[in-house]
Amino acid sequence: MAASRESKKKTASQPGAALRRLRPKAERTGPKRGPQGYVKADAAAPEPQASRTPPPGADGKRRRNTDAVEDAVTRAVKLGYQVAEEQMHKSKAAAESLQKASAALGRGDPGEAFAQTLHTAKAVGDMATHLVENASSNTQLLAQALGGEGGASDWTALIARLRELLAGKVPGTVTGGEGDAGRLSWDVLLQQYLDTMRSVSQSLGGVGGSAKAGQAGRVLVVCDRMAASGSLALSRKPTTEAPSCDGLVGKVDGKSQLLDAQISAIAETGGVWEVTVKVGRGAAPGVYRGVVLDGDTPAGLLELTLRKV
Amino acid sequence: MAAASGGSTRSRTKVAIVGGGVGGLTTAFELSRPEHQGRFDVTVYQLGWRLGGKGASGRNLERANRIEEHGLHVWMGFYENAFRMLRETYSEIAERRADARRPKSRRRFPDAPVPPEPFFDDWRDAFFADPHIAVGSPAPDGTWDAWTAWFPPTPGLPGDPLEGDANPFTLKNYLARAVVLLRTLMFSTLRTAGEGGAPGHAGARSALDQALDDGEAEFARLTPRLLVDTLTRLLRVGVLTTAAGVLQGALILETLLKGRTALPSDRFVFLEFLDALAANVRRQLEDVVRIDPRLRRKTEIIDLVMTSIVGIVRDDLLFDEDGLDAIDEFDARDWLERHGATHASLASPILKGLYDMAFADTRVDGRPSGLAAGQALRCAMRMFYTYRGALFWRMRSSLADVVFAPMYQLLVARGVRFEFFHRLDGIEVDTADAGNVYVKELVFGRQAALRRGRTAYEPLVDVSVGGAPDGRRMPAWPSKPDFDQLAPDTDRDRDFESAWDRRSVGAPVRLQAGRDFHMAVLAVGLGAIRCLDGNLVAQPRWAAMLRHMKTVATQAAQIWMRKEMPALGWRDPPVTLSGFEEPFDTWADMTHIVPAENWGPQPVPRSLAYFCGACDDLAHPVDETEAWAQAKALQSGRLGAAATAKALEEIRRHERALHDQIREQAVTFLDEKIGALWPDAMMGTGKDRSFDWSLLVDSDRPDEPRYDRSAFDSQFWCVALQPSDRYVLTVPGSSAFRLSPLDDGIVNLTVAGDWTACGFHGGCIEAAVMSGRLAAHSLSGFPALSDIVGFDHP
Repeated sequence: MAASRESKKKTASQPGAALRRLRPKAERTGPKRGPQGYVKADAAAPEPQASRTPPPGADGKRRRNTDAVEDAVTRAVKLGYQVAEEQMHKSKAAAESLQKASAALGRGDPGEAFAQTLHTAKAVGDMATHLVENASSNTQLLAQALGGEGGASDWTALIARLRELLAGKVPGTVTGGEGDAGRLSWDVLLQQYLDTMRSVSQSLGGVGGSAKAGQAGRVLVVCDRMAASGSLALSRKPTTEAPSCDGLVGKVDGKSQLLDAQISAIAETGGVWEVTVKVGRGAAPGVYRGVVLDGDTPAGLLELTLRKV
Repeated sequence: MAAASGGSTRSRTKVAIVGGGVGGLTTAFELSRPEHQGRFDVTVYQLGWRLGGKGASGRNLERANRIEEHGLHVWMGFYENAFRMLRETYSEIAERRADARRPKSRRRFPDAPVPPEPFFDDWRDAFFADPHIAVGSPAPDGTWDAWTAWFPPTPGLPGDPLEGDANPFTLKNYLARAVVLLRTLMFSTLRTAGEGGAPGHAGARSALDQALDDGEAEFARLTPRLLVDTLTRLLRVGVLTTAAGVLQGALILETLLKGRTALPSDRFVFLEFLDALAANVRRQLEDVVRIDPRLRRKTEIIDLVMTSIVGIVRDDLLFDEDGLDAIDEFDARDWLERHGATHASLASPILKGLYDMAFADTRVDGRPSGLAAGQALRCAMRMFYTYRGALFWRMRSSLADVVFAPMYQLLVARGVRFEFFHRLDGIEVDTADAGNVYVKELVFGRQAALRRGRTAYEPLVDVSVGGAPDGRRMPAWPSKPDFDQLAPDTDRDRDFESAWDRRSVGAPVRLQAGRDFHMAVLAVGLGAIRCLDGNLVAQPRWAAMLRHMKTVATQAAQIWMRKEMPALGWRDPPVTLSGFEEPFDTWADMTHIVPAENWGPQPVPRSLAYFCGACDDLAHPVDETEAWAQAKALQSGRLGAAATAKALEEIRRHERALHDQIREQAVTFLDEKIGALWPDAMMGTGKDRSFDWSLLVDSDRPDEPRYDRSAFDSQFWCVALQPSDRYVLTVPGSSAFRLSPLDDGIVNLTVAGDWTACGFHGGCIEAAVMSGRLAAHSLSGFPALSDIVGFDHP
């Protein structure tokens, strides 16, 4: 009986096997979506350069942070931070002037507010010049570091012209009375300065503060089905009392998935930042990551690894 | 249609292609290439009388040969595969016609039929560039406006060989392009905002227009004087310092991305930098919009671009082996929100326009269908960063006239056979040997018999065309079949594309594997697969696909009018506008089509408008309707005459009701909504304000305009509810369930169509062409996968 079934099965399979032989094997079964994927121009065209020599870091392998020390690009980014930090210091003078102007406006003393704003405008002008100078020099440095083309033409003339304008004509224009600048009221202009400078101070402070990066935290994981470990890295001291991470995303079977977990607010305990992650029963093994938010500003990374036991 | 083949006499592989839409025709095109030397014996089986699938259209021979379409079809400048095939089609037709003029002994195709002379000599005659994009823009007071942008021409033409020394389809490249755009837009926005803050200044243009005029103008290309003046103006409104900071940040980022080295391997450093930049940009934008609300749309684009950059880096997509597919589980809006997009940007008409293009703002199974984030990004990147020539390419006639008719004629010349009036009813799979599962039988219902003496149905008619020089006629599909070619007892009232009228002539046509075909290509629309009998749909992967992938019916209307668009109040250039009011959220000015029709002595329309939108609330999948039971009963062929008549009556009542509902929607839309875009097309005021129906060119009463809604009866409207015509949605989480044409799990079956895993998971012609090329590769090894442009796109 068994032999009969075997014979029947063999007979039935023959058409399928014969048809399979008619079908060539495809080059592959899916696209190359990753960084090494490429598209040739046409069959006769040479293979694109990018696919012949994948650039460092584009080989699909995660690199260790220690490798980054020598990474020219990272150095360039850090150079950007350094510039920003310098600007932050320079902006302090402008911010102080603006605070005085704001107070004068609050007291109903337009004369004092006007004087302080003129002072601020010059401080801002200096800072803007510095920014523009750095925009040029930093770009050139970056380009040089990266070995590519870069730099901007006519920057010297530009900066000279900007200095000239900011030193003399701009405050005069701000007072209104001629030209289209007169369309804006003094109060509006002043308020704009105040709003802008506040955001400048905050934003530059945020970037500049990255020099204090590297604060590590503690992750307490509640998970009864899998082995778990986690890391919490904050780039700066949070300004809010309870920074938080609103979700962890990882890959499960090649698909991105939000981790089924409850994440506590991040709190400082004994000088160490601490977070508790309670993993739900539906969670799958994998590496999950999420951004720590300090208010609306990203302030760090939370990473969780779940393994089968 | 039988035709001579130039093939060799060696054993040929018989290929049955089921479905003559773009996917099926592309597969036929590839397998019948002369380079294969006749290795494949290809037959295309098609429901009804016309090819084209969702792109099929018809000429109404009783109404000025006007074109009647299922929807709106525009080609995009990134349709590389589609344009390549089209260009090859026109080129080969010309080559074969030239070949026929040579002495027979010197011909390359001595025994093949010669394709007729096409109406358009070259594809460039059939298409023209359209650089505009428009979205409906709701105002706070509830009215609507249109926001139009112009995209500059780019080098090359779609379908040209790509540059050999660079891969344009990398996320890093896109990020660099995005940052350039970001910086240009920011600079342009700030420049506009800095001009005194007074709205409506002389010479003001669309901000995006200005930015795009600048194109990729480098910061340094601006003269120092201009830059300084600009910076000075910025200072007047107090935004200089942040602007400079933002621009510097963008410059740094751009330099990083354009560099030849990798992105920072310390991902967090890079991410933090990006986040700081994004935060600054958003703060800046709030100020800008406060200063000048006209700039809101541009600030939304900036925010969306910025957010996408942040999200790509934050989700590590640059190094993900799955590329953008890695985030296909998320809805695009949710993904953007997670990465910090503002609520204003998420609700922007620009994003809504993208959703409308994919019919993604529809409801499926009682909830919003959504749009997979990875595919949304892929589509936006391809659309805006890789278009060639123009953002859009429009056809001078219908898709069927410009594409399918020439393709059909070329394929016939190559020896491909077409069997019209064949409705696929079932597929039987032999699963006895798990390692060699194969399609055992294809079962068709034959919808009509040919008139005695005819061996094939000739589907095209030569129609007269108003704008044709020398009275040249155009081969086209009629909107009804030519009953004179069919058996005399054929029901002349029958709609062969009806989803429910499943009558057959005679016994089912059963094609057996090994005898009638070796390989099968399933190229029907996704919606039709769930209606199939047989055990194919019970196979686990097929069942999972049908469970997770969703489709939606679409509705369309066309109106021909007596006045030009400017006279209706539309002052912008001809556009395709999406993001407008439901139920017809997309409108296109198609006036350029009128010369391809033939209005003769009647009043010639001065403008022509197409509308379309999803129709999720009325047209459910046919197998979920009450009339489906009658349809299956008709398919069984076991009903007597009286029962058949009763079933048909029930079906027609159902179809009439649906038809009337769509008409009512269209009429109400014109009365209540279109005035927002065409104010001068309205008459009356207040509650009495309504569409001026006498504007319609009424071919029923050309000399006596009607002033009420009945005038609409002379226009065209339809709902694409035929299962194969339903639009395939890219709902979050569905991409992983798509079947690949490369899959050989069923040894003699491959798939083709925009519903497959073809590299571009969106419902469009390009996806269908890519899929058809993949199906051909799967059966023949040709074309090479690296030659299918964009298949390996991240």
